[in-house]
Amino acid sequence: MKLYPIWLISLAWLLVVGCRQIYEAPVPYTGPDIPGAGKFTTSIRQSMEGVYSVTDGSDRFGDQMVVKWTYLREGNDTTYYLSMFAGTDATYFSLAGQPQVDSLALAGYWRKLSNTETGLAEFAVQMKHNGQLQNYAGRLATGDTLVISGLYNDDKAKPTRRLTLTYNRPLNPEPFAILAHRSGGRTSDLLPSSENSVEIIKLASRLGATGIEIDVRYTKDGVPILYHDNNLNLRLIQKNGLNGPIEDYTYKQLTNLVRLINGEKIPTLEEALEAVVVNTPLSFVWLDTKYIGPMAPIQAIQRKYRERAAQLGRNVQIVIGIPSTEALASYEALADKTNTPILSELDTAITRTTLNSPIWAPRWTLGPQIDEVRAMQKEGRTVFVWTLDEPQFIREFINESRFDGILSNYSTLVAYHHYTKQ
Amino acid sequence: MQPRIRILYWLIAWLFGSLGARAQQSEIDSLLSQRGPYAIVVTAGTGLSYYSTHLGVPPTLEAARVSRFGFPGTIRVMWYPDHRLRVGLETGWTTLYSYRGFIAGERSQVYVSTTPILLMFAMPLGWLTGTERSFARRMSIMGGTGVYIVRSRLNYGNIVNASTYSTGWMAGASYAQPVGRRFRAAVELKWYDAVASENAAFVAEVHLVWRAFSW
Amino acid sequence: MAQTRPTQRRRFLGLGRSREEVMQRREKREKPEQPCIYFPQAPQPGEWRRSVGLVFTATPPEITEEVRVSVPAIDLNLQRGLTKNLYVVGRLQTQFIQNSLNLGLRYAMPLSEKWFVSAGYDINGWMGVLKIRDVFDAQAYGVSNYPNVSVGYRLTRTLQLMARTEAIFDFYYHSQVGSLSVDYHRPQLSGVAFAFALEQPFYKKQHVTLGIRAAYSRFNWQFWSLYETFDRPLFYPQLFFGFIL
Repeated sequence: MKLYPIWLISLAWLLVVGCRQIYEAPVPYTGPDIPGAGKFTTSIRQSMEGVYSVTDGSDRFGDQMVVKWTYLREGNDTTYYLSMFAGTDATYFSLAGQPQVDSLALAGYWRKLSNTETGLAEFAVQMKHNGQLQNYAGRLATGDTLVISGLYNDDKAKPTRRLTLTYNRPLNPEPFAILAHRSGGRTSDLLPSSENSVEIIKLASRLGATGIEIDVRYTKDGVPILYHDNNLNLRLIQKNGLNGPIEDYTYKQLTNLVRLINGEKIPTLEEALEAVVVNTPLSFVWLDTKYIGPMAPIQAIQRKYRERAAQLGRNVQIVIGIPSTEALASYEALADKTNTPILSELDTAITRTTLNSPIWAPRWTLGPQIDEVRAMQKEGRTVFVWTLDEPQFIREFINESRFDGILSNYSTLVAYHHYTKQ
Repeated sequence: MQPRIRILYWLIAWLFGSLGARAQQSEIDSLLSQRGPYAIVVTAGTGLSYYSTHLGVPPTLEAARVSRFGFPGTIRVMWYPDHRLRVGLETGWTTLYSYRGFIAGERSQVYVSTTPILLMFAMPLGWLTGTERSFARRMSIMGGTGVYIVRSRLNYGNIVNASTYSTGWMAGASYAQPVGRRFRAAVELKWYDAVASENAAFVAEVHLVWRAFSW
Repeated sequence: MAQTRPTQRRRFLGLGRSREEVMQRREKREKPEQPCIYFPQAPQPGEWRRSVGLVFTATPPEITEEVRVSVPAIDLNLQRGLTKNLYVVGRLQTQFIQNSLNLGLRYAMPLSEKWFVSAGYDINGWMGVLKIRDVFDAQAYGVSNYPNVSVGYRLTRTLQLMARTEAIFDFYYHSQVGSLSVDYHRPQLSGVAFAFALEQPFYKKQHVTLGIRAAYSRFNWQFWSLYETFDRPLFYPQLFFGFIL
């Protein structure tokens, strides 16, 4: 009996079913990020923000980059981060000041979200005065140009490849909402934190976001939590044998037995909003209604954190998304709708008449809908589009349409195309 | 009817129409003209399963005890046409794994099982050249694809029974020994793989094979 | 005494028969022993081959996330012999709202009685239109190329195995959403695919193809409407089953 055809069939089967590559992109930078601004004073940080031309390193990161500061507040400590966004492969740099160094030094990592490329990076901030590079001390004379020069490399390799950025122009000042999907980005883009976790909320502004969309569901015992999918599954959580709808489990069961894919706990809605209001500069939260059930508990939390933001002197807009007729029914069942900002994903007629929603958010796959968008804006409504990730279409929508903001998994790309728009 | 759909309709009609014409082109097929019989064969069996892939136990669980073994059951209905390839459906049930332990002194237990629902293809290793006494004729290889209903039962605080669907496949081999005109006893080794839920089990079973109908 | 020269039996690719024997057998060959679509053997010049079936594509979790299903498409194949070794192939896969058409040339030759090889080049055009009120107003089309090499092994008179390797080159992509459109002109190696198929009689004289295909590619036409953005090859396993007509 000739057995080799059987081996051939077996090998073929294994090749087909057994070779799915698992991609990973671990962040090579381990910090620590030391709180405090160090030598990066407020005026220096403000003067650094802008659109830069890339001279060395444009083969890898394109010919221009956006440079923007953000921060993360933990207790009394504030850590400042410099983000840089390139137009290729949804690239971002996350850099922290090095207060222990006696110059304007930055260190961190870079990552291309559309693939798995990542690496370490370190920079010094200088200025070009009369054609000569000098250390920047916060004062620029006429004709002086800021230069951010440094090194990068792949993965954990010590940075040795040159990357030089030369200041070109200020950021586009037009107001525009850069909304990050699933609290900052989706897990399948191999971000360092899981989608819909407190950790990704704290990362979101470093990814360019000015606001976030978060997915809200209830546990069996009625605790509002953040989770996107209908079921517990290995896309989002570490393997533990549990499956089925998350609504079947109590909060105690979830918090003790379930960890998100990068090891985080599933956060409650209150923990998420606390992080937004207290820890981040984010100014907009879109509560996507994934649950079917009463909206009153969500409304109460919305009110609580709007008040908390106001007490802290922060202008944070928290809106409840109405994506479906079921959610519309839940909203209409509320006893008191005052002081309850909403966002309508339904058609223009329902948005205008039934809901009178101040925000309308159609799908991007319907196109720019320029006439409808203009009409809604004339009525004083804000119009966002969701969930737009395709890089060329992000550019087209920013340059050719009239939306007030874009919800995307690639807030880095939205930031790049918005801030470089002239 | 849109032009694109109309073209597609005529293309399909032409292809199916030629199915009848094929019957007259007997010179293309060198197979014998009289063949048969056909049979519906029902298989039932049980055995032992071993969970054969990585297993996740929550790090919060103290004094964890894990079991990877289970007792599976299988029912399969196959159509045996007059050639080598056989097709049918398989279902059944098997334990995948279970674990138990304590969280802050409170007992916690998780049990995971699955019911496969698979479209099966099978082939004996020997066919035209084999005889009933031939080892190759009695050996079969099989493969299937479909869905696995994966069930989990959690006992921690309260009991949660939940289930989900997972796409997957199986592959296996069997040896069948005739024990009568319509019956055979078979041993079977197979691999269940519920890909989407990352569950896999190696299964060894003893089967009773019954030629239920033939024509 | 003249010494008899021992017969020099030159092996043809080491596969058991001399080249002369293979060539003689090829000359004698009148018709293939059994119908085939994937097996690398050319139809007779002027002869048509057809098959109709289904191809199921498992969705990658990166794109469809928790929705893990096998998406079916109608699979039609049409082939015609041009010369003894050269034939033209056509393949239409359709889900009605989105369609893919392959046109290509194959050059096939036997290496021995049991082993066969072919090399081919397929050009693939695909298109899809999706218009759903308040959800979609999008369409897209594109062109890809699939150079391919196949090896066939005739296990018995009625059972044939085929293994094929394809390179997938994306050549052009266009998509329109509402009034905005984008184009990608850059040709790039999108990925590779490996296919294995069995061809054999199933019932009476009806022959079938049963196969699997594993594609690792950056783009798959069936999922154009999901606008995936990953610049890394994803895994698209396929099962295909077809009746050779």
